[in-house]
Amino acid sequence: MISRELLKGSLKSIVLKLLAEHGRMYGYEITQMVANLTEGQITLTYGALYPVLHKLEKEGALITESEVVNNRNRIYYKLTKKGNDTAREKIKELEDFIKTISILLKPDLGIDPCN
Amino acid sequence: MQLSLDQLRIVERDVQDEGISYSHLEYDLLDHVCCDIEDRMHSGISFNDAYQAVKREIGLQGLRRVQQETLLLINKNYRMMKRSMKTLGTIALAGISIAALAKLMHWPYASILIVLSTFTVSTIFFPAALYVWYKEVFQKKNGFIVILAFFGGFTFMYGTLFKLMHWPLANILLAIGELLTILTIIIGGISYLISRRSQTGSKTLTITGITGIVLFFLGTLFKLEHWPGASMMLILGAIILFSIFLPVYAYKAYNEEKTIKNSFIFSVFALTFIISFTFLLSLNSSRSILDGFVYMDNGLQKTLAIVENQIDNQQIDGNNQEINIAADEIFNSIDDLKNDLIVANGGLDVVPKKLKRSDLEHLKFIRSNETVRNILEGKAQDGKAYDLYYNIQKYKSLISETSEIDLVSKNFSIGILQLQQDNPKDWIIDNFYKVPLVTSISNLTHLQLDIRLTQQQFLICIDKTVAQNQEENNK
Repeated sequence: MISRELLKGSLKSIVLKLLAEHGRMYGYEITQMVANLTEGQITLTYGALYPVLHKLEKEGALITESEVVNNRNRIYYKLTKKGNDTAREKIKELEDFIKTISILLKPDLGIDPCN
Repeated sequence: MQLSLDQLRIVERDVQDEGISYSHLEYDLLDHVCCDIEDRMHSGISFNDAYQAVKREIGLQGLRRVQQETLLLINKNYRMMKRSMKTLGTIALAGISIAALAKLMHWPYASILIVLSTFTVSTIFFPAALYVWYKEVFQKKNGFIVILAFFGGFTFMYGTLFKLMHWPLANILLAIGELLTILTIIIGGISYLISRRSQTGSKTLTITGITGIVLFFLGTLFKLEHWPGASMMLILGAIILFSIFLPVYAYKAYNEEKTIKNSFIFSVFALTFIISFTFLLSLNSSRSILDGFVYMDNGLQKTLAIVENQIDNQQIDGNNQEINIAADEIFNSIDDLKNDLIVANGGLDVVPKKLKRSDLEHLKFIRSNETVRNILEGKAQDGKAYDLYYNIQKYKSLISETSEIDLVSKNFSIGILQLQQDNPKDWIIDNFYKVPLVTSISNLTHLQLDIRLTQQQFLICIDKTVAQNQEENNK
């Protein structure tokens, strides 16, 4: 299980990436998809997901559509044009981050002790 | 598996109870919880078990916390406000407690501290708290009530401050504040009753609670303005609140939840505190003391009038004239001193001949404040109390010199007896600083009576001596 602390900074990028790939999604769908894709390694809690979704909506990266499903309102989130750019930017940023971190975590790349 | 309409209603009501008002967050969360339950029911467990499991996972007030985190993330101002609110609230609370203690102990700077901390609470903390409350708990459409609550609370707090500091307009401010607060409670209560959140069973209870609180507040307002019926309303309001509303509410809350929520404990504490505080401030103890004082002062004034009448009927010649003038002078200077003390501390423009309780309301808390000290002692021992002390000493020796009988020790009672202290400073401390100002004023009236009594006794003695002399001459 990935700790919340580590997840915090990349949450936005993950949400944007999923929405970029799948079009429109609702909150529960996003948490399920993340759980399935990571085989339970990452679980998004309510408290983590919705603040991020609402913030992205407020920034204009997402728009919402409301639809009645099973007698209740379901809110679907979708990327805007601006959101597409943000998504690309954020995903790139996260990839760069992962690359950099992996360099940091493998300091022995150049100096193989067996050599 | 899909939730039935009844099951949906149950979840819906619980989510609504959390009072989530930000944007479409309530729909988000309701759908999320429902999906979660449906998913769990797929594995074959019942709705109840699934719902309980979801609830356990969210935790107590978890949904509300989601809203708080959302607001914190979105709104920078809100984030800052919330943080500074905590600090400010704590500081202001500490300030008020220290100020109250300082006021009780007559330490310096108590007044400044009271003004500063009341300002912090009413002008900074209170509006910020209302704003946060509005954002987190209240439905957006009820903005009017929040504005009303703001003005009500704001005016009420400043009214209390003005009253404490004996500044003018305190009663008007308090009255307006109370009226607005009552309006807020009534309108807020009605809108709560209409809203979908209240259930039919609790409607009667809500109405009872509102009636109790409104009656109680009206009672304090009437009390403040000295209108009739105040005590009746206060007692009725307190009975409704404490012997009907609270027990039933507690019983219901316990039955429904099986545990007692924090908010319930908080509301009981807050209510008890506010009400006992108001009781202390406006009711019994101070009232009976003041009544007693006014009764005593009026009685002394009556005796004084009788004695003065007798003095007027006594014959006046030679030496008597000197005594009469001295007595009149002291008598008038005491009157002046009393007026100065009452006017300077009570906000009255003119002191009426016959005092009423309301004229002296403020004096009961005053001892040796700066105004009082200035009047009594002056800048360099030249205040009115010093003048009075020396004048009385002169009067005493004048009487001892002219009469052969020791009238002074025979007639002068409490007030003058204490004059035997050689030091005027000690006399001032004993008569004015060790007791509330109300008592000092009563002492002064007593002193006036002593002066007149001595004068009368003196005149009678002189009469007797004159008569004896004439008799001897006749022989």
